[in-house]
This record gives sequence, C-alpha cells and structure tokens, in this order.
Amino acid sequence: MTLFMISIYMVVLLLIGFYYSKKMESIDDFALAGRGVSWPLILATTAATMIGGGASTGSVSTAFNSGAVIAFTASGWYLAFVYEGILYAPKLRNSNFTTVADFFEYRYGRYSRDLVAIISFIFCIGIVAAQIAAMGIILSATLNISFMTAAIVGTAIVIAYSAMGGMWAVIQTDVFQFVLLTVAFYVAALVGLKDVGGYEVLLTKIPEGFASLSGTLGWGKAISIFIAFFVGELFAPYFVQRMYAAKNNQFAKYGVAGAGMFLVTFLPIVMVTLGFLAKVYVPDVESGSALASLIQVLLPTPVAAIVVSAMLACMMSSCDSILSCCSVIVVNDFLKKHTKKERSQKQTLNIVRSTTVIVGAAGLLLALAAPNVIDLLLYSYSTWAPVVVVPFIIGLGKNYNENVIYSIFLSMITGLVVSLSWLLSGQPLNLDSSVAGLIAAIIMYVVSKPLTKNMTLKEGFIPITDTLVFNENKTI
Amino acid sequence: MIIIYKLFFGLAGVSLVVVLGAIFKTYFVKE
Repeated sequence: MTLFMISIYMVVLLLIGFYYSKKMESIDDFALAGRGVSWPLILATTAATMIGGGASTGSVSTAFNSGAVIAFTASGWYLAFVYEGILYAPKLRNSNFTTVADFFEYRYGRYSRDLVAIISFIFCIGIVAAQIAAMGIILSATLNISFMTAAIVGTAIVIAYSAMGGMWAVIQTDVFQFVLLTVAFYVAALVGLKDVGGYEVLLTKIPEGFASLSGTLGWGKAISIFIAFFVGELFAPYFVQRMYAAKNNQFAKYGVAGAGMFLVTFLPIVMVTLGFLAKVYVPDVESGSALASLIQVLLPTPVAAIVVSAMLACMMSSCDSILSCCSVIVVNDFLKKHTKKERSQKQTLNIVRSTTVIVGAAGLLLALAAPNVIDLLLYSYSTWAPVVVVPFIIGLGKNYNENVIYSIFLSMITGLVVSLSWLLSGQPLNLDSSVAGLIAAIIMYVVSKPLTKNMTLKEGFIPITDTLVFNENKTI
Repeated sequence: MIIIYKLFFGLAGVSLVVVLGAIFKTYFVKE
C-alpha cells in the first residue's frame, strides 16, 4: 500500500514537470515563473519550502525530547516571514533582480555581489545534499530498499521535474505537496487526539514540564534559540526568489507574510501534539524516528501510507526549491556575470537545465559519499544572516547612499569571520554563531560608517546599475 | 493549559481551511 501511494505521488510530480516543460521560453520563466505568480501560490510554495526535515520530523523529535518549547522556538522561523514579508518583500519585487546577488550588485558593487553569490551557492548545495540524505532515509525505511537506491530514485525524480519545468513546476508541485502534508499531519494529530481521549488525557500522560512553552529547556536557552531561528534564514536565496516571482508587490507581501501567519498558527501546535502523542504511544523509540514510529502504531495502513508520502513531500518540496535556486545562482551569478558571451534565451535555458542536473547529481554524490562534507557546507548556514541582513536592511531603507558601501563590505567580512570563529570555538556564552556574527556585523557597520563615508569608491565597490532596475515604489 | 491547547489546535484547523480555500479559488474560480 505504501509503495502504491508513493508511486502515485511520484508519477503526479513527474506529470506536473512534463506539463510545465512546454511553457518555458526564457530564463525568467525558468527561474521566476515569468514573475506572474498569485499570492496563494507564493504562500504555499514558501511554506512548503520552509517545511523541510527540520520543521517536520525535527520538530516532532524536539517535542518528544524537550516538550512544547519547539512551538516557541520554531515560531522564530515563521515570524521572520511575517517581518520580511510586510517590510521588504514588496520593495524587492519592485525590481528586475533574479537572485540575491543581483541586489548586492545594484547596491554595493561587484565584490559584495561575488561574496554573496559564493555563500549563496555553498549554503544552497549543503541544504540540497542534506534534504537528499533525509529523503533517502525515509524512502529506504518505508520501502525496505537500500539507502543508495532510495536516494538515487528520490533525487532523479526531483531533478527530472525541476529541470523540465523550472520554477513553474517547482511551485505547482510545492502546492500539491503543501496540501498533502498539511492535511495529512492535521488528520494524524486529530486521529491521535481522539484515540488518546483529547488534550485532557494527553497532557496528564506526558512528563512534567513538557506542556509549558519553555518545555524542559528553560526560558534563557529557549529565547536564544528563538532569536537564532528568527535571523537564521532571513533573506535566504530561495525565499527571496519567491518574492521576485510574485505577480506584483502586493502579492509578494501577502504571499510571504501570509506563509508566516499560516505557519505560526498551524505548524507548532500540530507538531507538538504529534510529539506528545509519540511520547505516549512509542515512548522508547529513538527521538529521530518518533514521527515515523507513531504513524505505524497509530494509523490504519492506508492513512499511514498517505502520511509517509507527506513526510517525503516535506523533503522533496524543500529539495526542489533549493535545487532550482542553486542552478539559477550558478547561471545568473557566475556564468552570466563572468563570461562576456551573448547567448540566446534557448541556449541559456538549456544551460540552466543542464546545471540543475549537474547540481542535483553533485548533491546526491555528497549525500552518498561524503556526509561529513555536508556538515561542513552547512556551516555556511551560520554565516548567512551575519553577511546579508545588515546590507539588506540598509540597502532597502531610506538612509541608503553610496557613502555606506565600504562600511557595509566591512560589516559583511566581519560577520563572516566572527560567525565562523564562534562556530569553531563551540558557540561560547550560549550564543548561537549566527547571532554572534550578526551582532559583530552591526557593530562594525556603526563604527566604520563615519570613518569610511568620505572615501572615494574604487572599481569593484561601485554599484552596477546599467541592466538591473530597482524602483522602490513601483512593480517592474 | 488544556483550553489553550484546544484553542490553538482549533485555530490551526481554521488557518488550514482558509489557506486551502484561497488555493482552491486560485485554481477553480475564474475572476
């Protein structure tokens, strides 16, 4: 039954990819779905991309170990969408940018652009490889096949529909996966609550302190994690790409902020409930497999098969979005900016499709042969916020002018160095490395701004505005 | 505590219905 459900699910994904492959005419179609996406679809694809391994099985596992604290800490991820959706998504949509690095080129010049392009690529390929590994684990466990076969099959399908149909296929499959996973998880929690006798019984059967919002971690640690989650994926490349893809600036705002509002009201309570149910029904399992074990014990086979497909949907919907983003970074930020050759739309489209296959295959190789390298690549996760948050906030604000460019570049380098050093020294003072790096970046910006504001800009720091367009008040 | 959990679980259900409704409208209702 599980094999049947998963096969149907994968065939649907491939059909969507094939259908949208005929609609691709330009790099804008491939990378940003022609910049014509309505807000409910932006909401669904943003939420589906957010709900990867960490926000699904990872959250259930934390609720299983430490109680309801995950409802508070994970809200940091989701509230970040409300913040950037309301304040920055409409402004970012008022441009013809394709990647995050385009914004840096327009505001801060070539050096900042290249630094961000490199970090974006490392950041994305690390997550692609991690999601492939997670996908392989779920597929191999449920279908009883080897990890290698499972990872190859899962990745081949993601690559096929992402390369064929580009962003349109990724968005449409994300919508399908979003509906599947939200309904499946809600129904699973509902069935579990009914079976156990409601919250009246459930809350008496879990360990003491689990039901409180700080769980067993305590408020100090919980607040520290909340802040790290809030800043961790601010302006992440695959979310900014969704802001650019909206039909207009209002749709960008409703889609991204709406995704945050939905996630914060829906996901924490559902994941905590599933974690508590696992604590009651399968108390002795290893926390990482709490959700999978609960589903097998609690649900009848047909429903369990649907929920397993939903777990797979979590990984695949994140993997496809980040894979597609990664190949667009390679083509737009490296190939297009560093080679002078003129290419037709069709040639560019073929290159970006081939790049999707190569990047996907590289992610698969990392997942199969070098899991330690994935850990290394995921170090870039800690450097993202320290490098990009200050430049984004200043560059999208009213006080931006060319006098800030040197201080912004210094803050980016400081954020990068401090976050990596903090991570390598074991994150002292109970402070997450991304938060430490961001604090250092802010301090460097404030201190260096008066010292560098009158310096003449050298080539490489001069904003490049000949092909990129940005009008803060009007959708381009 | 129980009432808070019940309220949030109910809110999650309402949230889900609203979002699924908006997606349904996008695909099946012509403006």
